[in-house]
Amino acid sequence: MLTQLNAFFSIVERMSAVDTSGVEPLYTPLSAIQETSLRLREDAVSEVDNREANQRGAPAVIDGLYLVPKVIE
Amino acid sequence: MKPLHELGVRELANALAARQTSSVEVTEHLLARLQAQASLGVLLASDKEVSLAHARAADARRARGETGPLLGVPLAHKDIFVTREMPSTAGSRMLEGYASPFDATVVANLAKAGAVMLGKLNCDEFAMGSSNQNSAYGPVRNPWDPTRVPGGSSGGSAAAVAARLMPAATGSDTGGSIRQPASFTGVNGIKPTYGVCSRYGMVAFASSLDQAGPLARSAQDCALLLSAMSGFDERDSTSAQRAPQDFHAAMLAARDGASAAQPLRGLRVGLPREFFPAALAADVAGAVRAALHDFERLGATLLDVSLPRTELSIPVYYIIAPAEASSNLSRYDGVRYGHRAAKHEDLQDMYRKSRSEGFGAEVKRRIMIGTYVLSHGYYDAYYLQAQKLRRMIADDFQACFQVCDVIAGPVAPTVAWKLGAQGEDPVADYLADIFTLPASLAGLPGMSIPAGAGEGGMPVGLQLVANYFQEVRLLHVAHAFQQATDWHARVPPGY
Repeated sequence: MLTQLNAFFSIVERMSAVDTSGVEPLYTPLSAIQETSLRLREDAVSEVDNREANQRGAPAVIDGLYLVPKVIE
Repeated sequence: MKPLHELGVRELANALAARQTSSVEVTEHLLARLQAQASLGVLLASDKEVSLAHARAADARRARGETGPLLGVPLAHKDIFVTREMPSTAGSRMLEGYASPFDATVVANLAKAGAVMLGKLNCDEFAMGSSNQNSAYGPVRNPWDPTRVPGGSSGGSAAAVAARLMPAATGSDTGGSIRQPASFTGVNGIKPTYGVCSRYGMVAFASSLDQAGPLARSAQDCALLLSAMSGFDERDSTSAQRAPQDFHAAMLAARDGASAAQPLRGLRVGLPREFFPAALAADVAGAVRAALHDFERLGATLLDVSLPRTELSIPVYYIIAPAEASSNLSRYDGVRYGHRAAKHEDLQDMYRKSRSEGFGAEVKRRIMIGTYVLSHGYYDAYYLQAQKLRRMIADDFQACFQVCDVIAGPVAPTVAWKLGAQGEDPVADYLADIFTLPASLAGLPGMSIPAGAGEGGMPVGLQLVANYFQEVRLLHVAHAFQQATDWHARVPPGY
């Protein structure tokens, strides 16, 4: 695994040679062509209580609570 | 009538509309065929009762007078889309047997259009890979040659469509995962502009790159699926706010100045010189050049353009995608869903062991790379630098589109390689993604269409890239090519 990770970072080095001063990072692609901002929605209840279905895939649940190994002695 | 599995989406829609067959009949036929071809390894889950219930519902809708190009058409989903009625694993042990409480928007949209779900399709674990060999549930075989890979990560989808096990399938593309397997198996695949298809319910890999799309036997069939799959979804914060589109009707409209003999008259096709390097395999180069000659014959003009940062897109992508993956995959903690290690000492140990056991080698590699490049002290040099270069790559495309309407070139540097090859050298696999990564990083629509044959008779795909939201142009160009050639209609021997 270490050899593979080192091989990977050897191809990454080429990236650092490029002068990118003054370039805006492109965090989300559509901002290359348009103003993008996070959409806000009405502050209204849109979801129903679906706890039982949502917890069906959990490894350990009791009384609607997720169980984990003891954290506080 | 032809055997039912030989019908594409459009032909099947016509046969269903003419009452020459029923959805139940087609569904039963394809389920039997999937079972007979189990050795290809495409299917991760199926449920005959669920599929037949969908088919009966579609037949009932038709009996009530409903129509629609996907009503009663069976297809299957890449196992990266969550489904209520069948398990969703994303090709990972981490999600073995996971039953989603909801359907992905793409799945719900296709169900609403009346499509029948045949099953869930094999893919690389969390869509990370380009040969389908990273699936925790075994490889997929290429129907053109079972000793070769089908490409990835949508390898199950591509192989299933190529082997005529279903008329179409869904896929997802983060760095080429629709286009490259489409190329390797001789089918069509389109990755729309980022934001066209909802990501809601698509198991997240790299959120700023992931995009859903269809794989099918023709450009027309891709358009029919894309119309149903796409659309604004308020549940995806990056969903593009646009009116619903009928891609199929739009792609059939003739170009200004086009004639029957020259449907592509006036089309300017840019060939980035970086897409034809010396290292490009001779068979791929030959097939792509021959296809481009057909484009000229159809009226298009070829011109030389440049995407100077094509090679840099490899490190840029393999910094950004793992960074986003390391963040997205932190949700698998063995608490709310997914694998939990049977034996553990305390909470930390439970996290560690659950993730060590649940994730495969490639996923672990990417989580480690991603976590490292986001860490304090390295963030600027790696992640930020990559995002700046990403902007420069997107700008390079805009410069090209000043002088051309579409960009064309190979999808991959070679035809499908042998199963087992390259497995020990992940960086070699990364380098082979060179031609698909640039459009992914820019968020542009890209398509792979069957365009020729290479070494061993293996399919070669041609990649087309257009500007933002110009899917119709890609589909139109692909359709014109398919009216004049028959590469898309070729079937792997024995299927």
